[in-house]
Amino acid sequence: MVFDSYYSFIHSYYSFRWLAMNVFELITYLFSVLIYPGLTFLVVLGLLTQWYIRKLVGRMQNRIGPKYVGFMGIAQPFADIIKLMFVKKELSFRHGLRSFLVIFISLGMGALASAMLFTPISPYLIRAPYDVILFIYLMLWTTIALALIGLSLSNPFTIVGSSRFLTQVLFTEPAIVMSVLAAVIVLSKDSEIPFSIYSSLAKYSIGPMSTLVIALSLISYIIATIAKSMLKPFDIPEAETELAGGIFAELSGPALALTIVIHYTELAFLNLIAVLLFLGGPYPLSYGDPLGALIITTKYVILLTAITSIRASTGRIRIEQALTAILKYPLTLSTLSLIIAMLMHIKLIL
Amino acid sequence: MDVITASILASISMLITALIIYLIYLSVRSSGGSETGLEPYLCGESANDFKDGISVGGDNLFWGSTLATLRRLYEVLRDEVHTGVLNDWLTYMGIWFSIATIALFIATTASGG
Repeated sequence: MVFDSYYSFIHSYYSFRWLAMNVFELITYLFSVLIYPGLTFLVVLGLLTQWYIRKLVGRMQNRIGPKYVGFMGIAQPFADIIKLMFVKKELSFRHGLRSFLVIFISLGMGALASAMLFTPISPYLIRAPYDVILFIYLMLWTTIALALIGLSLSNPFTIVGSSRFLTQVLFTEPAIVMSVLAAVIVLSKDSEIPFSIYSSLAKYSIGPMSTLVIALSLISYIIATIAKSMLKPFDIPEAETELAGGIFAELSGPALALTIVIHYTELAFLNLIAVLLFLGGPYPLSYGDPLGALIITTKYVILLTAITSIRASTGRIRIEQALTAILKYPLTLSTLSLIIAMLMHIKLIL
Repeated sequence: MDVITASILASISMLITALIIYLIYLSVRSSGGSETGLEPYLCGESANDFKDGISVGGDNLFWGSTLATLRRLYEVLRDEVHTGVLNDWLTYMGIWFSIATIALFIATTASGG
């Protein structure tokens, strides 16, 4: 009898502990997906990135840039989104598939929030062997979403914009994928979990050949990021003067707000991954260090300044010039870095 | 964690986030009101002025990739590979399978298989 009650007490204690651990894990998972570093963090980072680009480009072009809302206009992108969401009407055009495009924008945002769980800055970590393939798959969702925005509307401007975007993506996506793969092959070498994003990001000391691979991949990744984010000189898919905004020509109200959010969130995500993967994240500190966040932020701002400087100092180029430029530089460099990384992996190069 | 669990967790988090965004959109759109059934925006032009309608032709959609950038590649494929002569086709397929075999060999060696 005593034994039975003791056993049931132990059993209920362990059941409770198991439940508490699982509830705690579930709360951590939901927090990571929805708050940090998932949805909320990415959206805020994306809008702050938009403010920084607008302000810096404004100053470089002898304009003031955002000024009125918040300190130095820092809350202007947030005010724009709130206005579009809650004040502006959404216009719906004939033959347009509005719900379809919003579903894909939502899935694209979800994919970015999900991809953040693979990075060491997330409280809940997803790490598995060969998870780089899963990570790349999640990265592609925003491209699909942006391409479908134009194709789901019946306007010739949006359709031409989408076709240009898809043509550009045909060359930029392989460059981004090969850069990430090359970096992961080199960085996850000798780690417990092979070809994992987590083991690649948590590694700091690398040899000279690996540094060469990372440098080539970084240059390729940055140029491809500018092209994928449709920043100048690769902004022909949304050319305002020629296509009346291209992909974004017919959007208004909440749908436009979501599109702006996904556009800048994607840029912020790609920039953050560049900092974590190619620039060593918080190096010379580690991820557990409180000052590590400051170093990551500094690297992020430096990289964003470089991208913004290119955007502010170049003019729009035609689609075939853009494709030739992408073929010549990012695609060639990323192919070269992937070949070197593979030769290093099979130990033909040390 | 294995790859299957990672895929399931990633998919669930993606779907949860997407669902929340879509629900926010639906609630905001229904409260803000909308205008429906408008004609496509054509910078002031009327859709009736276009003889062939306002759809964009396939040639125009793929102009950037097929005609402007990869023109030489398509010319080589058309004039030297797809000539209609069986030997040319066999040579083309032979080269293609050789490249595929080399790529497969490199991939299997690299993965340690």
